[in-house]
Amino acid sequence: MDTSKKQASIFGGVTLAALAAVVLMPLLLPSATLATEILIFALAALGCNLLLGYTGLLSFGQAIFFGGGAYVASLTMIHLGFGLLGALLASMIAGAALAALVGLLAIRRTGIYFVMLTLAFTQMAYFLAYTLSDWTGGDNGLLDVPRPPLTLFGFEISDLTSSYAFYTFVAVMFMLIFVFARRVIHSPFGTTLVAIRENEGRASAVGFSTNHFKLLAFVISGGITGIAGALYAMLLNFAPLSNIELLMSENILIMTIIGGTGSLLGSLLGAGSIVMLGDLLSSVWPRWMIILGIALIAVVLFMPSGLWGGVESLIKRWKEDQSGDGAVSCKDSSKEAEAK
Amino acid sequence: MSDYILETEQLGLRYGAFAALGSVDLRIRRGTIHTVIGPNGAGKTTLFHCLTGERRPSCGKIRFDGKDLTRQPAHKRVSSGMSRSFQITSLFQNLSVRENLRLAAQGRDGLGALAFWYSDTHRSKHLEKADEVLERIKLTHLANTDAGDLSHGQQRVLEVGMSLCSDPELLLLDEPTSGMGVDDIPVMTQLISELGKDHTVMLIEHNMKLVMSISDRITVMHQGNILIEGEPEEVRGDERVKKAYLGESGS
Repeated sequence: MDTSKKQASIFGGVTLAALAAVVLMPLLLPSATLATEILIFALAALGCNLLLGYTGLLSFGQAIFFGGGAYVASLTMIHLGFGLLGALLASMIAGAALAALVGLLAIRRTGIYFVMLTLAFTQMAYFLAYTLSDWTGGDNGLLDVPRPPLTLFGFEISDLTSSYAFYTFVAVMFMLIFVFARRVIHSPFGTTLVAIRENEGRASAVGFSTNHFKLLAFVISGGITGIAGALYAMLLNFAPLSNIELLMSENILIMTIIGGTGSLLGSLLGAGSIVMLGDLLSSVWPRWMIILGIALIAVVLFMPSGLWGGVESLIKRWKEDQSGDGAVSCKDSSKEAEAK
Repeated sequence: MSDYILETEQLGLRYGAFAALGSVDLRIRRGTIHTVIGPNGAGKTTLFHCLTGERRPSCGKIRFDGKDLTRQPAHKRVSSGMSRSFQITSLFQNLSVRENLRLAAQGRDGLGALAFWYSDTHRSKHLEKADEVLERIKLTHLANTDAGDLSHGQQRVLEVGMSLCSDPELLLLDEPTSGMGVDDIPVMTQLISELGKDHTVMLIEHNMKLVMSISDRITVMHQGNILIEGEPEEVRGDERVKKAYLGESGS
């Protein structure tokens, strides 16, 4: 992989593409709420991607961090009077701590057993949330979650009551975390994660204590997912039990895989397409999930590197066409290559 | 400082009643190329795995540079100054040759590589190390090729190159010529004898031509124990070694 070339800046390249998408989305989409939901799930997919795409860990535990973040943010706001940023910080810490706990036990096993452990943890967390209905509202969900105004050093910057104002806030959070994720990927730590994904035995033989690296990947992923959960609760003014369901883990995983593992922009693309697909189809046809299943099968079979991988190869083909004379036949292009 | 970089003391590994390794006292002198040979099932690989930390010996001790590291896990031995290559090529197939080497150099940092807040090019010493090793193993022209696209011979060379990146005092090479074609073997022979100038090298090898031409010392193993140890000439002429290889019926 050409990691050495991409290093130029974590603010250029795909970060600019993400920024363009974030600016254009509220203009092109029917509502700012839909755009906000896309960004929130893009954050969750980003967290999932760090594990699946970069470390090679298929975790069904993401709902624990998402739901946990949502509950902790909501409860600290309701009972402790936390402000917006305080609640987000609490949700990040909660997500990271939950991920540390799950990670610590799950990474003791690899492959299928690892996956089964994360699955078991999610089921446990779901029933725990269901049982603790005094705190979580159980099946009814946690109602009346506030969306506090954004204040910095005592100054109120925005009350965030309008959907566009909240979108702007979520967009800023998304960009900050996006840049952070790029920093992580192009760091000694991130490159070691890729080494672990590629060949764990060798990574260990050259001196990396791979379990420490996997654990930190879990913690970072959990922190990001926790923030996503908190933002989701603030968006809905409600923290439903479904946040912490296995289905949520599956949705986050599907977004990550459809978008393309191993590319951050893919997570945005994946979250965008699934959330939009759901929004368009759920009003028309209650069984729209069938179409989601077909889409997943199609992507896995025909675009193994996801939608973003498909986009990348289209861009590549387009560039080749440009360098040649529009439609180039195979013969011409091979001659061209020889000439070079 | 002791003359010997690595010493084992009555090292043994048992699987139930079967002793894969009986009781091995091996001493590797600093600055030498020390080869372990022996027929299949002699316990060479088991010994190797005990030294790298992949297997935990059931008895005995391993001392490296005077320190007891019998119970140290494999990844920690790298920062102690020990590095290994694999018999079955084990590379980061989808990463470039340079990135393979850079990661291997980064490995010596151990937990220091958990740093996620700065760029990986920030520590240029790892890149420099990678480029230095690239020169040494003569793969500079393929630096940006994916490791998986190299020929088998080149992959074997990279395999050895990766173990060089941590600046080890002792290199443990597990059958470096395994699966290599006849044409590639001289390249490997030359590389190992080059490495012998700066490092202590311990290797397991089957290719006798290579073994006899580059080794300073040879240890012959048989049925989990050391049969004899000596210089290439002594070993070549020894009757017991011939018997071990050919079996009793061959005598």
